[in-house]
Amino acid sequence: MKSIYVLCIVFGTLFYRCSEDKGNYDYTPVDKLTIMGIGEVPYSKTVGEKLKIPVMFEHSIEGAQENYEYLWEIDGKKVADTRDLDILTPSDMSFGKKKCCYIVTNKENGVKCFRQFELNIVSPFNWGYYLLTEREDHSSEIFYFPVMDDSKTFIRTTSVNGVELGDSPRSLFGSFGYISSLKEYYWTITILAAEGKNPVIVTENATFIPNNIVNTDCFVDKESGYVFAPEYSITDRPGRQFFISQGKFIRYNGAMLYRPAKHNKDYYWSDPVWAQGGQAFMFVLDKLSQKYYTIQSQPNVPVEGIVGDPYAYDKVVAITDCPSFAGHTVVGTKAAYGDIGSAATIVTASSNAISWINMSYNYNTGESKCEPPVVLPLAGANSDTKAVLMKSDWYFSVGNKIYTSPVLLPALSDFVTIPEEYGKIVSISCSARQTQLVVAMYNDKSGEELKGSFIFINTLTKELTVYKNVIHKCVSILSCNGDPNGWGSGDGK
Amino acid sequence: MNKIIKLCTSILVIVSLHSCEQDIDRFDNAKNFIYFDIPFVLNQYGKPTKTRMDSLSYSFALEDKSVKSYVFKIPVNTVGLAHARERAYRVEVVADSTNVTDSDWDKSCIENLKIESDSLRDTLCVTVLRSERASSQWCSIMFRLLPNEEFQLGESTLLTAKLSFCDILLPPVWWDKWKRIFGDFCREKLIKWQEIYYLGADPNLERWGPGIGKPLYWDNMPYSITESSYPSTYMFIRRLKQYFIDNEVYPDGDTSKPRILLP
Repeated sequence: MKSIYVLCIVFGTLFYRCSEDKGNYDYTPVDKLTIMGIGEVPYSKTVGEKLKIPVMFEHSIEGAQENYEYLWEIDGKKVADTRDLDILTPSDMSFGKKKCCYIVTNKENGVKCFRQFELNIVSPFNWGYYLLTEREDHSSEIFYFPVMDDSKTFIRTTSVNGVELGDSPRSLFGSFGYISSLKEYYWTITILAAEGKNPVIVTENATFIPNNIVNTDCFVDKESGYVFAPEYSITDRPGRQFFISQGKFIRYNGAMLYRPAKHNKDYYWSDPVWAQGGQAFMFVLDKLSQKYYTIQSQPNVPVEGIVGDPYAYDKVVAITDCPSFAGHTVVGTKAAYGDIGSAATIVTASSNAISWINMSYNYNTGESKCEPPVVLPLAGANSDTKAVLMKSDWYFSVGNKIYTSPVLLPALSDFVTIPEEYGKIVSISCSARQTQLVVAMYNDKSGEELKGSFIFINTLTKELTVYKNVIHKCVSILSCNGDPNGWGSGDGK
Repeated sequence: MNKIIKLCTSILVIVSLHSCEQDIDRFDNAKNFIYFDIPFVLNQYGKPTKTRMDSLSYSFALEDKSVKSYVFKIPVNTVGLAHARERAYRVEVVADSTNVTDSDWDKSCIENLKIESDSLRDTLCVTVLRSERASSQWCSIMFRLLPNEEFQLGESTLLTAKLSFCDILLPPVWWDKWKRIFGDFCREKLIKWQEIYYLGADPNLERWGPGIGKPLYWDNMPYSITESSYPSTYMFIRRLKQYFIDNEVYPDGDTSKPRILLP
């Protein structure tokens, strides 16, 4: 009985398989859709910001009807079902890059067309200019000028995501590089102040959340009584970070401060310049002797019973023929390669003059040399003079005037005069890609609450773009308006 | 065909009905078994392996001098049903594997042992003392479960429990891994390292391995000895090294021995 059933099923299947192929196929070509208008570069948006992506379709069949369903997804979550995207980024979205997808489904045949893209959720503080300013009560305030929208207005803050800035602001330091937690390249921003419980706040221009707060509690030896009141921050080429606090040179490593470097006599360090070759030493000015030295770790010397310390730059080496810097204010420095090793160009302002001094040091042999200074007369130059190196030219400020000189064959010439109504230049910098000068002015006679102005100067046309009475007295400008390499981040200027 | 289906269904029903007849009380609950539920050895990720620890050990050396005793807690488990009354159990000291005297531990700990009513478990608490003997050698006590009218002996490998204690400073488990950095173990190095790298000294958290997310300090040393991965730890180690450079310290204060230095 069972066998009969099995045979029936087998024969039934076989006969059905042999049924006639009537060739009843639909050979109508399917429309192949190409989606255009979605950017290749990640979209950068803040939480709650408008995200608008109008799309265009290209059909493989002319005149094909658009009978489609649309789906926009961010991180796998549906955000819209419209043809074009026009939304506010979701308020619960975390910072960082999100994988997004636009899916168009043909309602007639179910064929889907995908287009993937990236959205980077950033804080309101991202690509733009950061101005560290000092209010009249010596407290700090950051003015941020965004470049990725057309608002042309400053965002002000006295804290970094709730962490209060220190008082008596000193400077902003920035380094552009890969930030592993964000899996992307951004600017690391170090904010220095001389006073307050948070003298150093380290953040970046993606989240603007403090990554590190550096203060006296960060010393490895907390009971030592070391005080952290930083004046300079510097990161050398391999990424070693240091602070100069009260004239002491201190390694900052793994969110901790090592002991200040110890020497066999007193020095008060300032104006550091890192080694272009990446060697573990720095050029530093000693304010007591007014001379430049190099400092580095003391190596082990077993025959003398000396045990070196790799974390402290205890060893001091004088620069041969270094002139005295008495009466000079260091206004700019530049690391370079010299004929005997890593070199530093020190640019100073003294009474009615600008000076260039080139020095170099061979880390392996200990040989050093200093070239005779180049002195350029500049009426009005003094300790208030500011300087910035932009590509192959230096720019110097005197009052409300800017002068320029090529790095090679130094010779000063007038560059631009800013109207007196804006006051005097208090800070000068250049954009990330070094295409424009960025200048902060301060007019102490102004009756406005904000006596400072902010100016862009096109270095080719010398055209000024002025934002008058928009800031306090600026002590430092950090241009995070884009990446310095032209990779496409920021405004590309 | 219908006949076959009917037959199969009938057999299934009969078997099912028959299976429900079995009286579960036929299981022999008169027998109860007892054993030491010694903890399992943990693997490198902190997960229990299938191997039991061969002994429970403790050192007074890391404790403040005011600490005079320590209580070992040995889990005792039973197999069977819980009873509404207390049930006594007994252990004895295995003399061959024990080297303590009455002044080294509290013998009364093993008297009047019982499994509480409605319970299957107990904890055998054994108080050991910071005695003279403990400061010079490892002290061991081995207990063996004994059968009584309440319990028969359980799994044969779990009938004894060995305790070991001393007042001798032992290298922490991480020392071998870090020997290249810290050098040979000595009490002075460890005590100074505990003083320098205390819990809270380093704000960095472990980023790899089983202790991920936990604060780094002397008793939770980094997962690897790679300096670039744990720069802060190395700065603390350098401070330790400097301490022994600046201070002439000898093992146990014995100047006839080589001075303590880090490599």
